Amino acid sequence: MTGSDGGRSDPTGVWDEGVQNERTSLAWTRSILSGFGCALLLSRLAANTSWILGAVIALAALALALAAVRVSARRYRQAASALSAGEPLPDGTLPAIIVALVVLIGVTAVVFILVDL
Amino acid sequence: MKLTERNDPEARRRWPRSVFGVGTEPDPRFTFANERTFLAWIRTALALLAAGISLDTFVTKFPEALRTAVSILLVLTGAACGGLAYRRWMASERALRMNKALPAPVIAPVLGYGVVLVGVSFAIVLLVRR
Repeated sequence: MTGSDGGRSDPTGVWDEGVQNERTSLAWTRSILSGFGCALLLSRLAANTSWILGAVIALAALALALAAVRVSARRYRQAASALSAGEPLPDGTLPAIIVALVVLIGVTAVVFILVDL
Repeated sequence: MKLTERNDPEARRRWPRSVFGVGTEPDPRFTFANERTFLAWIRTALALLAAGISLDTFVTKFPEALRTAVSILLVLTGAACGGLAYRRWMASERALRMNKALPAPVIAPVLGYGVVLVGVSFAIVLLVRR
C-alpha cells in the first residue's frame, strides 16, 4: 500500500495515488460508449430488414446506454464509500449483465445477417 | 484457506458465490485492475462485433458468400470473447482471493492470430478482385 494516508480517511478525497476507482469508472464509460456504438451499427443492419426494427433497436440502445451510465456512476459511489469504510467492493453482477448484453448483440446480429441474405 | 466472509451476512450477498465464497479480500487495487482488464476484453469483443456487423452492412464489393461467412465468424468470435472475458474475470478474482498465480491468457494468442488471418485473407481478396 502507499505510504501516506492519501485521503483514505476522508470520504471526499482520492483513496489512493493510483486513482483506481476513477480509472475503473472511466473504463466503464469507454465500454458503455463502445457498446452504444455497436448497438447503433446493429440497428443500421436491422434497418435493412425493417426500418421499424432498426428504430426500435436504436431507441433501446439509447435507453440502455443512459441506464448504464447511471448504474456505473452508482457503482463508482458504492466503491468510493466501501473503500473509505474498509468494506468489500461491488460484486460481479453488473459485469455479468454487460456480458449478457454483448452476447445479445451478437445473437441478434447473426439473426439479421442470415435474414438479410 | 481462510474463510473470512462465511459468517458475514453483508458479504454473503456478493455474487457470484464461486468467486466471493472463497479466500480472503485482496488489495482493492488488484480488484479494480481485474475489472479494468475485464472491460478491456469487453471492448475487444464489441470491436469484433462492430467489424462483423459493418462488413455485412456496408461492404458491397465483396463476394456475397464470403462476406456473410466472415461477418458471422467475426460476430460469433466477438460474442465468445465476451463470455470468455467473464470467465477470465472470475478465475482472476478467485486467484487473487486465494493468493495464487493469475490464469494464463489462453484466448489472447488465438484472437491475435485470428485477426492476422482475417486481415491477410481480406488483403488477398481485395488484390485479386481489383
